[in-house]
Amino acid sequence: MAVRIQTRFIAGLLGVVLSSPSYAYLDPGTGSIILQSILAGIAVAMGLLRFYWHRFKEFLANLVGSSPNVQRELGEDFETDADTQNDS
Amino acid sequence: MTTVAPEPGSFRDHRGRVFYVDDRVLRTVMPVAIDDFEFVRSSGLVDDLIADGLLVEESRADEALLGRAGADAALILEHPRIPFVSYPYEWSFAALKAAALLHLELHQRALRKNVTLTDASAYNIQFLGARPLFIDSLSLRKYVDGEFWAGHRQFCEQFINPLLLRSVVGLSHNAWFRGALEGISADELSRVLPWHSRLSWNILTHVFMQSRLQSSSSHSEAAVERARSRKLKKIGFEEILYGLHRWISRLQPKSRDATVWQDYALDNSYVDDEVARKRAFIADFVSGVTPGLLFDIGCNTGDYSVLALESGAGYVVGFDFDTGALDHAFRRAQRDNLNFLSLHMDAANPSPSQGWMQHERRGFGERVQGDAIIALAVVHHLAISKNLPLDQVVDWIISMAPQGVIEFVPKSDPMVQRLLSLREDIFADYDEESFRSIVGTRARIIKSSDVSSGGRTLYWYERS
Repeated sequence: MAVRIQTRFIAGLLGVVLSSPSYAYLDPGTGSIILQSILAGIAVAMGLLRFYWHRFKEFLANLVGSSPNVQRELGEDFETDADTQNDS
Repeated sequence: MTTVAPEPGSFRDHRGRVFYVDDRVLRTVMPVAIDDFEFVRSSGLVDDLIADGLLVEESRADEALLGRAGADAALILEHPRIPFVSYPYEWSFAALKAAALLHLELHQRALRKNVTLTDASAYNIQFLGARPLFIDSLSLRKYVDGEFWAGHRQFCEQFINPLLLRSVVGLSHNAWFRGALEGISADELSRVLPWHSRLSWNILTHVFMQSRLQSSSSHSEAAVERARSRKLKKIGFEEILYGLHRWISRLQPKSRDATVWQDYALDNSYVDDEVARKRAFIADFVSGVTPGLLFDIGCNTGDYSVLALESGAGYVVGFDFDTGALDHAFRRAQRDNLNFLSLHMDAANPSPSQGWMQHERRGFGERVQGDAIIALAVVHHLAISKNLPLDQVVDWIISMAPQGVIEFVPKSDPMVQRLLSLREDIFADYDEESFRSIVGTRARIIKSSDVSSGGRTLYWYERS
């Protein structure tokens, strides 16, 4: 599971700027599009840091005997199920 | 006779429109939208969002209901009616924040089902009490792998930037948003934010960088071409939404000091016994009339709105111009899950009909027709502070509901004395006898009662 998430993050991080047209009902603005490409990479990197931070906390918690649920702490924004079909 | 009236604010989307058929709200789904419509519903997302109270309910309606207006539609949906339609420039900071968080939560949940939103308009959200509700069910459509968040700029202009205006600068968004119906641009906001606000990563990027990137790229064909060819990974999209949700949920108004009216409930010229008499009169009125929809003009933090609900009113919409009091009232309704919506309004200058054809966003006068109204400690502010003729003030209040309670505050009252302390008393006709006569010629006075030793009097009227 962790490997899958890790792969997903790294794939996301590397693949942030790719090429494919998008369509939109309203004009998103070039400024917004360029900004989103920049932000996405940083946001994914921060998500990765957050993920490892929670892993680290879990590791420490295990050392002292309790075992918090990483998935619960991360929240639903980090799915670990099979909902990855668009991230290949 | 059935009348079919298009909603004047629903014309931009070629995928469907909203119509009112008498009291019913119907939405056409055009053939161009039918694939998305079916994809989104088969994903289970719509049912989940409705069940969790994020999205307006919908059911299939008979196509014949719309007559010719629905002739080209693939199908017709029916939605429940919203008790009172409001606009983002009438919301408090707390309400705009709640709407922003709803939008982000809905979009995050949609992406998990491979659904996205066509736009990020704040006008797609309405309130049921303090609970935001997404009403534009047709703006949900299939997510295309790699696409950008089309509504990002609009989300900034209609949610983030107005919130930052209050959170960083300390100014409420209402007047600016009302003047610029599509919100506050990054370029405009970047000119009023203090330099040190760049130290916030989110402000630096979503406001300053976006503004700079927009101005440097919008006239460059090469930049537009590059933007057209870019792709956003879904995980990046999700992370941007997640980050914004986290950030916005922590935003607070800059000044947490009590505003003028927030303390009104404590700092006024009533004593406890007088408050009790006033409350008893209002409770008696509301339980006698049992209004479905009651307006509270000058609601302050909502004490009498809540009393009205407790006395049997179905839904209360309160109006005030004090931003601090409105935030307090909104949070109170949020905390106790009340059917109470508090909105910003300057009684001397209520929201006009405006937007495209001057009809896209309907004015206050077009929307306020209730079953009952209470206007407590309001008349003297309008008549004396704003120099409005007393008869017009009474006309205005009585026009909004067939029954109501209006409080008259005489000149001898300390609050009125305070209003007159620095100005000439030009209000020779401002007395209770004139007030009673003005109300009496327009409505039947069911009951009146002195509620303070200083001569404050409540009048219960019924329009003839």
